[in-house]
Amino acid sequence: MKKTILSLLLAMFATGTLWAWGGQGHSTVAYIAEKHLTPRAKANIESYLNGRSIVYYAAWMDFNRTDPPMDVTRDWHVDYWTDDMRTDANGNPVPPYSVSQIKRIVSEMSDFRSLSDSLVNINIKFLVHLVGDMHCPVHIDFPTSRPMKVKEGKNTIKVHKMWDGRVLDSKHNGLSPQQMAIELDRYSATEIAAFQSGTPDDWHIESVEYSKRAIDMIPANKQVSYETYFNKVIDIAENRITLAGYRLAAILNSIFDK
Amino acid sequence: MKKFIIIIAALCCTYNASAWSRHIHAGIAAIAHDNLTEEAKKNITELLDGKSIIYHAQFVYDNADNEAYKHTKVWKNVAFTDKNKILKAKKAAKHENKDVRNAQALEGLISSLNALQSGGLTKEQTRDNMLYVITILSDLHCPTHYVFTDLLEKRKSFYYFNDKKYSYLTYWESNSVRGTFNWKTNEFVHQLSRKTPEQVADITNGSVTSWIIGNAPLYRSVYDLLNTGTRFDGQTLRLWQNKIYPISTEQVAVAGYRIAAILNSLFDSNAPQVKIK
Repeated sequence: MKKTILSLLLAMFATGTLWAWGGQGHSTVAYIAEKHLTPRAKANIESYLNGRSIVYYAAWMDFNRTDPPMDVTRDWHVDYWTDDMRTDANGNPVPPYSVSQIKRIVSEMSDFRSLSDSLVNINIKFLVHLVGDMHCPVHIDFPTSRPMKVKEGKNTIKVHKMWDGRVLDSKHNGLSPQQMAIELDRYSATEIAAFQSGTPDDWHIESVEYSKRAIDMIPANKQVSYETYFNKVIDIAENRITLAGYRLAAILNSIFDK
Repeated sequence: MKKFIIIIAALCCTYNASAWSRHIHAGIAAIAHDNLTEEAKKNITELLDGKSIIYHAQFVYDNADNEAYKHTKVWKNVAFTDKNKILKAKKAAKHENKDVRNAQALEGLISSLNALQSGGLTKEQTRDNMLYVITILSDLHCPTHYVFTDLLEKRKSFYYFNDKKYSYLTYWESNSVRGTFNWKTNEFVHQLSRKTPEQVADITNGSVTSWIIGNAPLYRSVYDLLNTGTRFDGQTLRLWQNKIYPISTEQVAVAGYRIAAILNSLFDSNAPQVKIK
């Protein structure tokens, strides 16, 4: 019995079934970004990370999400479409979360050398994660999609969970994040520059469109499989991860290449 | 995302093994390989008939059932007193606890290094002794391979995750890295083989024995990270793991650099020499 369980788990680890958008996706975003950092930006960033790579901290926000000092960041991981404007307790509009945090951090970091090392350190960790999150289709939180559930075989899962796990995994479960970054990072310099143009607000609008598309592609009977759904949306997942990587690099270069 | 992490945690916790697991041994060897001098790499590759040390990263475990290597079965752990002093082999051999009696890794390491330094070995003997050194030094950078005679009960520490019971030592050996990072061998190198020359000099300073002794205070403190019987849910387990992975990943890096230093010392006549004691 023990051997059977062990073999099963080893197989799962070996195929990466346990790691999807969380570890796999965020690390891939960071690997792509790292490859497109300028040498000066990379050196500056790593000097604030005690020599570590941005990839090491790609999922740090998730790992620490329930740590009480991180309570303030709980909502930062998701955005919503402005048609569905949220308001605070006083009825004032609340801007989309991760996008507004990204903009705030970029502004705060414009003169990063004037900030404390610890603030720069944590801001880097936030940016590395949030730029990935804002490109994940289910991190655009539509009232209709939030509670939506689908069935894969006999299992019922939330759409958010499916996108966090199964979509990316369905095709790439044999690849490590570094290998996946190599596979996805294949655009020309001109194409990359086009992807990097615009602002976080522009990218947010684009994310909303991809999110709608990803939700609309769910079969009417809500029964998903590789054939009926995952294989059809894998291009969206790959696109979002790749663009997140390029845009994260653009943001970090704009801050740290000086 | 939160539920996803809970699932990972649950599955990671059930994975079982008896030493640094294979992916960590390979990761350590890869970091060492990345820090070999060209001369050392050339000589070692020749010794291994074209293969690298990564291929043989856990040679001792791979040959555990081979009669010719039965003497290596007790070369897994090292015993320490309550004062963080190495327990002498003779004393350890008489100890009532089996883990202590079998904690002869330092003797294996020193005898292998002595044999390599003194020379006159056949190619096969040189290969075997070098691979013993790699496996043992890797293991001796895993806290659970340090048997503290005053903390023997703590070696039985366990925790519950979703009401299932798991061993603390097993967690360390198998999931202290993988519970957080899904690294393949090349990613261990990319993420951890990035020390500055000054940091490397600091890590590899001193003798092999001093490295082992120097690890003891930190590895003792690892036993304070878990109150046995703790019940975790997905969130509390994740926060607990956050205390462990910075230690485990750093020890993996340190092991890799130290193995490189000793192999360079042995296989590159121009490299700085590393003393055994």
